[in-house]
Amino acid sequence: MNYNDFIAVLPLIILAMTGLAVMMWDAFEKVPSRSPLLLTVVGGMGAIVAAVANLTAAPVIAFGGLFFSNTYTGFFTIIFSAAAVLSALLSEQFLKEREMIIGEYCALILFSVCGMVMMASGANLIVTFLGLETMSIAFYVLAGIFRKEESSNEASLKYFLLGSFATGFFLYGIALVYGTTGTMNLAEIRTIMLGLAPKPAATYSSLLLTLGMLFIIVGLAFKVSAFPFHQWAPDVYEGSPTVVAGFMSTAGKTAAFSSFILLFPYALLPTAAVHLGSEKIQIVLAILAACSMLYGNIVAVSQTRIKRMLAYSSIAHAGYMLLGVSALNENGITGVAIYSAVYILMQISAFGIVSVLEKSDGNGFELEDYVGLSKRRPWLAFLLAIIMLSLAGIPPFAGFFGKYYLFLAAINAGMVWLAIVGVVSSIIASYFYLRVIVLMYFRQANDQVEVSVPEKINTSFVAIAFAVAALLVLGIYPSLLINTIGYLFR
Amino acid sequence: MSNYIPLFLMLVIAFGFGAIMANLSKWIGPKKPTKEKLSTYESGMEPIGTTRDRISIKYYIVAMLFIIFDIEIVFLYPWAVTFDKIGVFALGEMFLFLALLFIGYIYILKKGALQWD
Repeated sequence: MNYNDFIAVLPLIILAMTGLAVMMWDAFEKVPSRSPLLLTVVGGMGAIVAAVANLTAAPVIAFGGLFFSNTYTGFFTIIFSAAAVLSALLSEQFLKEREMIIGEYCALILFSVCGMVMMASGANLIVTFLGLETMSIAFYVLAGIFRKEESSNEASLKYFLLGSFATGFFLYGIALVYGTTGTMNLAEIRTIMLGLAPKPAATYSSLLLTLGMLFIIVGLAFKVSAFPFHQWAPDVYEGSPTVVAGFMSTAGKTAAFSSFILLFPYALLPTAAVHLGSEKIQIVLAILAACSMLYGNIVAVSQTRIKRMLAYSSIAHAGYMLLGVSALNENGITGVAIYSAVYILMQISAFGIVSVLEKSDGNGFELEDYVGLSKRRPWLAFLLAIIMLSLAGIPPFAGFFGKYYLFLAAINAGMVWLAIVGVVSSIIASYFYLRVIVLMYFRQANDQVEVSVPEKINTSFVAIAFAVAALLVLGIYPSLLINTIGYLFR
Repeated sequence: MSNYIPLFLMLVIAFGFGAIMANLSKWIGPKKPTKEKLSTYESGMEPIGTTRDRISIKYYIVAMLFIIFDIEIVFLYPWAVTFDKIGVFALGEMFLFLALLFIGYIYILKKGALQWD
């Protein structure tokens, strides 16, 4: 135990301490103010700075093999903290209009990010599990934070019951992996899988190990809402507050992917290993990816409510990232990292715009409500159009390069069929993304007087504009992100 | 795999034993039902109201808070037993743990979760 271990997990400490501080502030505050929001933003930025500072340090495994601290964890810490800052900024106006106090909300966001960072830096299966639970429990509460609304309660309860069930699978998978390999340490599991360390002959059983991996896949596939473990996603995302749905469907998913990569391509199925059953597990992952992409995109076509449409499209996006995981190679890991960053920007700002446009009485979700938006709210319509183009993966925007790397990874892994499925499902997806643009720009609202409402420059608008600007910059200079990640994951 | 066979046997025996014991009196006990015997058992009192009474949410809040601090004891106990072996660092860690729970306690106090009305 030494001082450096604490430096290695400094972003986590900053996030947790800020969360506690926000909680205390909320408890002692007489008149609700925006200080908790400010504190959250400062804490998130502090975590980003600490993570950036750690990027240059030598990689360590802190606390006796519990936490990784390397460029991989640094990168994910940065994008999770950035997602938290973005969602906190998007929520201010949204919560104020619904007379909610922002303190509790911000504290929960920060605690869930703590869980995500633990998942991305868990060097031990127990830490991964702890992170998963810390994140999930904060999410269960966040989904039901509008406790007087029935839909919010329903979403929270559904998510809680199904989520705990999936966590049980994950935990049982961990138990089986531990039972066969005799260790929970990912680095030690890796050496056993690579054949560098002897398998514990007394307990090793490839059947139980495969079973354990499948259980872990079930648990994580639930968290990323991959087909066929997706049923909760549309209901939960539709029922929970829009800004929360945006946060859960982006940061929560990418956190699950960050530990997917640590568990599979890194520890349990190392690329170079010739391991009994590894092709089978790869095929399982590939099939999950293919089904998620096709199912999410096909079902999203028939949706008439924008939140449900985004929920189904998020299932498809989980499929794209799962494609990168199933490739089990370097390109796949890079692809997932790039896509995570881009996906967080796209989806959080998409949900952010929906949250700005929805009305406090729970209306404004129908796609019909977006007819003629370009006349009423020209700026928001413009930003949403860019986001939709990026989500569809149209080249000048950042979404394209994320997809490009993922499909490349699948081809490099010799799974051309999977890349073809990905491309076909992207084409299907472009229909419903472009439909939103058509509704906003090329359709006249019949009965409404078209009055242009000037945009108020508030935190939500600034956050959305910032995210879209980042999408544009990353789309026009993709080498910025790709080189950074290439440098970090070398 | 053969290591697990005794475990499996124990599982079968445990389930079987439980199932038999729970049902034995039902199978072999004499049954002479009367109206009084079949009525709801309330220690000899006449049953009032329904079984499914709605309970105030305050009880649940208190129960949840109790569990949190109960778990605190669960963690404190093994720490106290091995205290002389794990030393000052563990002392610091345990105080950190207690401090975190204490912050939670202040929060529920200030939020009025413990006020009964």
